[in-house]
Amino acid sequence: MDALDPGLIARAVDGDRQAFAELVERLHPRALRFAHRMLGDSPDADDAVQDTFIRVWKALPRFRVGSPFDPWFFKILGNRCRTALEKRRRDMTETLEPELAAEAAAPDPYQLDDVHRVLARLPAEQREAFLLYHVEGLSYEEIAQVTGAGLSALRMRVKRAMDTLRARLVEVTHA
Amino acid sequence: MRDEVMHDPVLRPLVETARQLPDRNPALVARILAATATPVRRPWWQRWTVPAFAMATLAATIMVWRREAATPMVPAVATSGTDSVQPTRVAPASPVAPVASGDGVLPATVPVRFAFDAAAATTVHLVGDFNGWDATATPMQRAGDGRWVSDVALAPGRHVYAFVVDGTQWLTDPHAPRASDDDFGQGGSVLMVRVP
Repeated sequence: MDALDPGLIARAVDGDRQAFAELVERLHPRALRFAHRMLGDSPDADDAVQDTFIRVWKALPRFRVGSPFDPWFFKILGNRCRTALEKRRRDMTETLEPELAAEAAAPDPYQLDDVHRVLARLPAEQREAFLLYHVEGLSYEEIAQVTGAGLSALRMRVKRAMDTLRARLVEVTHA
Repeated sequence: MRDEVMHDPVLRPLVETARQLPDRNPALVARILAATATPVRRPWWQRWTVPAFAMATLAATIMVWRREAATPMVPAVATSGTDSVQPTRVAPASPVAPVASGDGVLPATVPVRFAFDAAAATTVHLVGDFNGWDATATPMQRAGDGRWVSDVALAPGRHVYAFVVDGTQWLTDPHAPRASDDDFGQGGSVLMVRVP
């Protein structure tokens, strides 16, 4: 995805509705991607994205123009996803993800449902760090701004996520 | 794609699939734009016109100057010393200066002194919604014993603020309520400036 035009962000910060609409148009597929990988393909993911953009709209006047937009945006989106996960846990509505069926696994490329199932087995912190680093392309320094975690902790989360995913995928491939 | 995945035959297809962007969702976009149709109330420093702001500032300055002649600004509340960076916000316990208008008292701004104990710091800046979170706009001054102070005229109401040490370290105030809207930025503390 192309980097967002700083001028577009500046106009949105200044309250330009048209600029904000363009920002939503350009950014929402990426936001949906992250939310779906975090929460699965569920209405919760769409709600998290909608809530994120509403909060972004309200918070834009406080965004420092010129500073990186991605960490600021993903901090809000990440918080919304964590809140949704916490609500699921509280409500006890989160059903255990089914075992990754052997017949559904390991084709190359994977199906998106398979990817969601595998990712869902990671602890949320590892899943978030893995997605931000390997899917969204943020640096560890930017992820630190998003999550508030230290750099070494983030590197460890990503490494553990990769180890877990690799082991799981090899396991189901040979099942 | 990053190298450690690029050359991983197991993870590479997973990441390739995970990176697929979903189709745009016009219904979701419409809901977002409908939900944000109400204009955001801009911060006061963005809403005020220059003449209005200048007049209010001038009035506040004059009033504060007149009051200070009779009532000096209350010194910063003593705080415990520390070797480490320890922020301390000193609330405007008193010198609250109402601004006089022709019809009586009309508070436009209230002088607030912020204090911060940071003996090891080279620079300290005050940031908040009142200065656009600009980490260079409001430098604090050394006041001795490792304390940094800054006097700011604030509009009555709720403000969120933080301290920036040596240009990189953002610290909230442990003695003030934490802002609930942390995810809007770097986090901050809440100060309620009340009309006297």
